[in-house]
Amino acid sequence: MINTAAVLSFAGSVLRAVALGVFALSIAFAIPPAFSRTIRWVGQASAVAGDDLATVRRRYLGADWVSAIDGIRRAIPRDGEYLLVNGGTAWGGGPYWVRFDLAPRRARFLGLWSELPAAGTLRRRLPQGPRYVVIAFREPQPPILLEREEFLRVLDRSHGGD
Amino acid sequence: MAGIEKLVQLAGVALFAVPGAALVELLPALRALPWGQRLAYAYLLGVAFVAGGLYALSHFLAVPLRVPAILTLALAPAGGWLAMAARHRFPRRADHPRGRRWNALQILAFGMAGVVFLSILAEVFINPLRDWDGRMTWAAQARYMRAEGTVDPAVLTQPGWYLTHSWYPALMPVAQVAVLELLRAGDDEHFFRAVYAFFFPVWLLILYGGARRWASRNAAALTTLAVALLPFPAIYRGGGAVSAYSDLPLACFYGAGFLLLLALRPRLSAAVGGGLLLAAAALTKNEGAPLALWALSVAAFVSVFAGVPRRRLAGGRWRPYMLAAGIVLAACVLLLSWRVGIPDRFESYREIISWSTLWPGVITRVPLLLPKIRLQMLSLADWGTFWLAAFVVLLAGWRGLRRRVTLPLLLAAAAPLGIAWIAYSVSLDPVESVRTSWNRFVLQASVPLMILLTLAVDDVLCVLPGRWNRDRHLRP
Repeated sequence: MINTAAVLSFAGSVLRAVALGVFALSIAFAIPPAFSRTIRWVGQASAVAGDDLATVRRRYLGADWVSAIDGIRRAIPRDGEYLLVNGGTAWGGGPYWVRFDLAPRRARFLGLWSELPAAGTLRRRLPQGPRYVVIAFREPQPPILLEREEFLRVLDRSHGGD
Repeated sequence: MAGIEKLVQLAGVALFAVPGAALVELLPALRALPWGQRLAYAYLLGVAFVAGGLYALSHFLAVPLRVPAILTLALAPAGGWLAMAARHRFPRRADHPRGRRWNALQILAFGMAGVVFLSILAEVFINPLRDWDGRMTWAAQARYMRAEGTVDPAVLTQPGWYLTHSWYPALMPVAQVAVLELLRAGDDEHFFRAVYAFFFPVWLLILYGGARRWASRNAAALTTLAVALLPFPAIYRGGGAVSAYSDLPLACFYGAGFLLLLALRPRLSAAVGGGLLLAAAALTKNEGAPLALWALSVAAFVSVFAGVPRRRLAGGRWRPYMLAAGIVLAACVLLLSWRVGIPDRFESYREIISWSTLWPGVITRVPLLLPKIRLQMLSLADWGTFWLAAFVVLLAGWRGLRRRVTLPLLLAAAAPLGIAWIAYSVSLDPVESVRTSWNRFVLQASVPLMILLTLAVDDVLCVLPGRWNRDRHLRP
């Protein structure tokens, strides 16, 4: 005669043992990558720990990007403002990173370059005030700084002068 | 910034840890906790008190976000503690219960957590911030606030300026400002990164301490070990401790605040601590306020209705919850008042959500979104094989979940995921929303969720020989 309670109890124990084994294996598999990552990252950090800020920025953002951002920072004062255009794709993030690097300079966003109206129309709509226009692209392509009129001329040419 | 100077970020961490430690000493319910727990609560309370205080002072009283205000707020709890200590109101340190020596599993868990934390520190001490939301929203907000020395900078209060999600609660940006101001950091010195990094060990300590309340130390250590090794909370740039996202801080504030209040009879000092942490949750992210109110409601419900004679409902039983609710509501008032001054406050959401799709989207999107969610949970890069293993453990150890505490933990864990589901139901691009946010909602739910898992692990551990189960204790 089968002792149902004993069988169920045994099955439960087996299931628990299997579950514990699976959990332990999952942990065991995760330990080596964590170790190797720590060794790698700490090694990299100690190798560059003596770098100054400019070197760190160039290494991570690219020399062209850093140079472009520094140039724009010199042109627009910290409490100044600028017009921002997305010269890349809608979800490329370019305008976010440029805005972050240029903050606390304030931006007025004009939109995607490809969706901007003709220069004549845009001229009437442009907010008064900002002298400069910054065109952002997807990283690592550096942003471009244009004066307002120059921007409108470039826009006019790119839209075929319509 | 060369060599040893990079460690200056630790001063930013101390800015919150020191006043937090004084607050812990001032609150008897927290003072009685083991030292690891006290450290974790100290850090969270420090961020809540200093950043939350600066937020309120700047908005309501136009106090500048500059060093005098920052230091005054940071030193105030220490002053209070010294004043109280002078009156001999505290038990001597020897009165604290001495913890037992760690066993091998605990040593492994804490050791591996330390190893993972080391990699996080190596990243944040050396490299500039390279995440998405951190630069798009949180750190950008902080830069504008710091420049004008106020939580109401012109870029927020005037219409037309380009700032993404300008109405997002600003507790963490204010914390960034406090650190950067104190350390006189330049624009490209991201000294606030260590503040986010330290939420990782704090999260693990809160989780371990919470798990220990209802499970054996082996079960708690095993779960903590598994969780410490997860890539997403630690090193993922889209929400982990190496980023400047607010999800890990929210997970800590929400989980820790809830645990402090989750007692049949919480002390008033626990209510103050819990209230402060849930208030910080409300000021950390959009979903923080509903989560804080939910945590309060669940904890109060458990205390008031669980196994207590109705005739005892009156009287002082409500008092701790009223106190905590008062603190949370004060934070909500601050948040609402702050948002009123932001003219473009909901602009960014008008393009990505439509409430008209809530019904029947909340049902009809299930077949579309569940496979996407499964894909996120089973991503080896984000979670390893953790969720697969956790599922098996929950299945095998279901008996461990037959406890009184399971329901409130389940309710607390379900809230962030419920908010996620509502968000996906009204999103105009729900698949993309799942891809970019599901893991972060799981992180927000992680403290109660992982404690539930610990209960199952505890049950599963009973197949091992006796010495592994020596301290198993089935609390309700």
